[in-house]
Amino acid sequence: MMKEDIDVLLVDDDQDICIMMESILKFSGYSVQYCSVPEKLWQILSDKTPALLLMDMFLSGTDGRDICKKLKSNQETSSIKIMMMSAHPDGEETCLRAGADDFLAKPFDIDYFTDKVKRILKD
Amino acid sequence: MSIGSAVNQNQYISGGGEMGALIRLKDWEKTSLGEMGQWPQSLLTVLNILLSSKFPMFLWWGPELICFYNDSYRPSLGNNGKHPGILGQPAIKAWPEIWDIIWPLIEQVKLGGESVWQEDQLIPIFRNGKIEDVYWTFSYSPVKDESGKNAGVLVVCTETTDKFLGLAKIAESEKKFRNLVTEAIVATSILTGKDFVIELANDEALKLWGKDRSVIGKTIVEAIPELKGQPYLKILDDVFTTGITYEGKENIAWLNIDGILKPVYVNFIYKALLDSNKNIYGILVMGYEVTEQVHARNKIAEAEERTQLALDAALLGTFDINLATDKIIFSNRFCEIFGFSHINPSHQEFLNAVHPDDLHIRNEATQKAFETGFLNYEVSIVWPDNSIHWINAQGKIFYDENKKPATILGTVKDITEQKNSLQVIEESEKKFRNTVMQAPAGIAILKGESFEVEMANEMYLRLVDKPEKGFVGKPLFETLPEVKDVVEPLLNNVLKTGTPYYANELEVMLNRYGKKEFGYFNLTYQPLRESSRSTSSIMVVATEVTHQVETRNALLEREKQFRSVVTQSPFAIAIIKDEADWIIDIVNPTMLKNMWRKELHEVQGKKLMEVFPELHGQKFPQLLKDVFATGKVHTENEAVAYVDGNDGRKKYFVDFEYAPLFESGTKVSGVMITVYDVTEKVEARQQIKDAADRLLLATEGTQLATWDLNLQTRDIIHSPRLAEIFGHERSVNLTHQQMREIIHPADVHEIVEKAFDEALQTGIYNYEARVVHPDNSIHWIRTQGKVVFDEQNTPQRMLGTIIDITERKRSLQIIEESEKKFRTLADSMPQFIWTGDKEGHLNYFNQAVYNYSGLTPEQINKEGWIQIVHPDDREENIKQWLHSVATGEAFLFEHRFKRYDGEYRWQLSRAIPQKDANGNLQMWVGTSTDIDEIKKHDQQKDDFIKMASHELKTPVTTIKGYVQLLLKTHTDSNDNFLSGSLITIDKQVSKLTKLITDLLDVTKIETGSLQLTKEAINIGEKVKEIIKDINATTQTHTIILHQHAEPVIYADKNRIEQVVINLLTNAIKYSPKAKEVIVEIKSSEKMVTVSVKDFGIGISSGDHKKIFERFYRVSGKDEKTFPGFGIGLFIVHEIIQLHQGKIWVESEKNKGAVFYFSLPVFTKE
Repeated sequence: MMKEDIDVLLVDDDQDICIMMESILKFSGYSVQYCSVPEKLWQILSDKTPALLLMDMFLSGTDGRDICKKLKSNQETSSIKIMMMSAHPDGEETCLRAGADDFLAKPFDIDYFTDKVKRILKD
Repeated sequence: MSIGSAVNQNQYISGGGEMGALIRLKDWEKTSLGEMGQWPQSLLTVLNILLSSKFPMFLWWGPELICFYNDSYRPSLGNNGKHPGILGQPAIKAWPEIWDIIWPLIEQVKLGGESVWQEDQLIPIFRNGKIEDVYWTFSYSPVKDESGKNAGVLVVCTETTDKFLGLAKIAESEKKFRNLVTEAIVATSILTGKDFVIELANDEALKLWGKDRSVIGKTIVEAIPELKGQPYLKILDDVFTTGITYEGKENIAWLNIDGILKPVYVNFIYKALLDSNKNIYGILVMGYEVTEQVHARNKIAEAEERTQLALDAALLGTFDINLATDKIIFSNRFCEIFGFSHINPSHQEFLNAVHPDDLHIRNEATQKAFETGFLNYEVSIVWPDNSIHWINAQGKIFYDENKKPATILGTVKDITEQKNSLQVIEESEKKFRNTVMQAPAGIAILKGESFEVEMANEMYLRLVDKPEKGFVGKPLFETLPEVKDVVEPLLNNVLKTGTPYYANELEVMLNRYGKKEFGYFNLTYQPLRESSRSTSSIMVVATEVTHQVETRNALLEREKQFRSVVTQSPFAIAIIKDEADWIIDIVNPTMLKNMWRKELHEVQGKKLMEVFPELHGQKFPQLLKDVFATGKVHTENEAVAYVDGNDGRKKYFVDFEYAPLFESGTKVSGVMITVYDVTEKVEARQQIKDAADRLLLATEGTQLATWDLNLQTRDIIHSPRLAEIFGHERSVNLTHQQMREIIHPADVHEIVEKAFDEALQTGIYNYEARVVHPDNSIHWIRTQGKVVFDEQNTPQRMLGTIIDITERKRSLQIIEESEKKFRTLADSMPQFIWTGDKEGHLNYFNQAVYNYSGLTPEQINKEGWIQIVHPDDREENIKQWLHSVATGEAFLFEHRFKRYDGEYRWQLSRAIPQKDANGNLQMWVGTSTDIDEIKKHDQQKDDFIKMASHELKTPVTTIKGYVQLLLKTHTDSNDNFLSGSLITIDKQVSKLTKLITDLLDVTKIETGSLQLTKEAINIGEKVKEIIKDINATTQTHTIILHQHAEPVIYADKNRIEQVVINLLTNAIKYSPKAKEVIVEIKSSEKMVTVSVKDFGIGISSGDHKKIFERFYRVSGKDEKTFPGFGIGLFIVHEIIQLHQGKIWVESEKNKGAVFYFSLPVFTKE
């Protein structure tokens, strides 16, 4: 079964943020799916292959950094670019240490955010 | 040492003939002196002098008085005696037979240090197989060793047995002579001295003088005062002065006899008496009274006078004999002469009266008369009363016509008186001859031109070794032909001129005692005059002085040798003669060259004080004077002498000796000066002493005492400070034993003796012990020393220092106590307490550390304290600690320590350097406090703030996102209100975000968790970028940049940006009325400085520091109107601090403000 390629998979337990960010990305012309229930991430990933996984650090009972490590250590998923995001002061440091390709501090300016996504997807 | 190695002893003793060889061959190791290599230099020096001397010398050396002697001495030991056995023997073994005699002398010399001189001392010694009486003239002189003690006695001696026995014989002869004088029939007396003390006078003499024995011992003037004014005293004086014998004949002397001054006629001889030195010491007076003869002769003279009248007065007996008839005609007087009382005695009767013994005289005379015509004879006659009388008969023969004798006419004279007196004279002469015969001097009378020996006394015969028979009555030169050459001219001269001849020490060759030998004589040839006044015979008085002359010659020879020894001596020697003028008699080259620095001709025979005027004012002239006066040796060591030589004045240190030289008996004839230049030695010692003094000063300065212990004798020399340390006055000299006694009894055996024994093994002496002072106070000393070993590795000396360490000990004790207290205290504390030395090595941990870690001190010692620290913290921990140690800055660090159960707990460790008064780091005192709970609490708080920040930002994210999304999606809308509202919301959301970030930063700063990610930044670029952004969003102000440099710093980019933004926003915020903010960038070699200048409300100087404090807000109505938490500058300050930078402000109220911050310029290192 062929998986569907999408540009960005958004993972955040805060659905409002998911919708807001999905809107921004869609507004910028990316194909986007979001996942506000982290447990369902694996199921989504079995169907779809995102170019960029944009994932919050704290995911209501799950640590995004663990997922990041898991994905980066799995050969199948290791090629997916992962941009972690968080409002936590230690976010950038710990996420990059967990293997994330980039980090986005919350809150952010849209232009800044879209620039980052654009750059990472270009690589 | 074996005999085989005697060759090696050459280096110590060289030459010395037989004794030198024997000394070298001797195995000295068996003697108390030990092998020669150990002999003191002083002994070797004396031995070399002794062995090279031609004087007999002997040396006793050392406590046992080991014997040495030289070749010259050796003959005195005879054959089959002590030689060579006593070489190297102790004196008591070598000289048992005379030990009692010499021991006191040796002791006297050794103890007193004065030389002893003995002359002709009888010291019998064992030699030639028996004990012989030997006479010695010797000196004992002390010999000093290096320490200046008298270690030996040098004996310089001459055997004088021969001389002494000779003198003894003379004394014996003198005694005999005196007896002779006393018993002589001729009046004889001996007058001695210039005052003519009557030493001896025989009975005859006393009778002559009319005095008794009480005159003996008195002077002649006292005894016979009446002689004053008479010529005799003058004659005595003359004889005493000239030595010329005076003979008086029939001199009249007025003597007080039985209270009446009477004339006495005397024949006498005054003869000078000479001592062995030919000095006149008295006068021998021999004489006899001739008063009666004189009277008698005077009477005869009178009679003869009357004879002229005899024919008239018939005072002569006259006779007329008819030869034919034998008939005699005589005068009455004639009859009286014959003692006949009857008138007509016959011729026969007269003939019968002639003494039968004399009859032949009368007959011969008569017979002769017939031949010559004259009759003359003297015969004795016997008177009828049997008395003997003398007659002189003279007559003339008358002849008849036939020329035949017819008659004899003549006179007879009674000459009894005359005869008697002649007899007395003859007898007296006989007596005199007897005296002469027995006189101690050889006396002979030589008669006529052939010098026939008329008489010779016993002594004379002995002198010429001839029997009386065959000598007397023969011409002298017949029996003594060998003396003719010398003596005959002399005798002839006396005979011819009538002048006496005196000769002293005339050398005459004599053939006597079976051989030809030279004899020396003191001679007088006295012409004897007959009445005709022409000299007919000569009286020879001869005294043999051969022995004296030979003795003197031997002495001269010895003096010659002595001079040669002096000249060759390696010591500087000079001999000064003449007590008055001090003439330089002998001086050897050593003295000339080394001391006087003059030529021989400049000094010899000159007066000492004229050659060396610089001696005036020095002590030497007085010493010399004393030696001349007292005859005592003067020795002095290391005296200072100034001598002006030809090369200028020089100062010497000299060991010198002024030794008197005796000519005869006790008279000092000269002084031998021996000088040994010790200048170099003294100067060297002076230097050593100076050095020692300096050392002493230095050691005294450090309160160090020094000591030097002789391990052989246990003699100790110490500095004054030592006595002080041992509780005595500085002047006290302590013995080693005394010092040991002062040591605390508990320390003597345990510490001091132990250390001492150890030192003898290891060479190092070191201990600390207590001493008990006389006041019972206890003090601590530290002794340090080292042992000096000789080649045999035998310990010889120990040198060292002692210091009083009582104070140090006390302070150490105090420190120890204090430390003990500290440890007790520290150990009772729950915190970890530790100390480190100045190098940073930790050397103490309190009990809590061990309790916590479960480690033993040994484990910590072995593995180090770092094992307790969490592995993750170790690197930083060590780095920080080394930094503190290097800089002396306080150490403050948080790290985790492993507990005994494996759990790590956070600790806050602080260490503060302890510095001395000079600011030098002494040690570190550290504490570690368990902050695990606090740390966890902080972590929780930190976590909470972070989560709070996260939670606050999450909704903001949504809002901000949507607002910006709305703005994006509605940018084309003309709804100004909507877009304006959205912009405002976005701005306020940004502010809110910043506030949340600032609060979080403050929290991070407070917990120390603000982490920097440093990189190289071009600060100029960064500032430009920020200014550009702010200028873009600010309408009110323009930010102007003045960049003077392009420095690069090593810093956290975001944090520096945060600082610049903060300062710029503040500048804008607090200068609402201004339009510009000026930024300047300057750089020095090390620091870059950025300033932000505004033209706003300014800050009063009192607030310049406070504005960087947390939550500080400047008070005042204007300031209150400005919003804010008051945390912005706090964060800025902290960030700059974390970058090792500085931040400050220059401002005045209402005059704007300039904020500066400076950061280190990045360097590749």
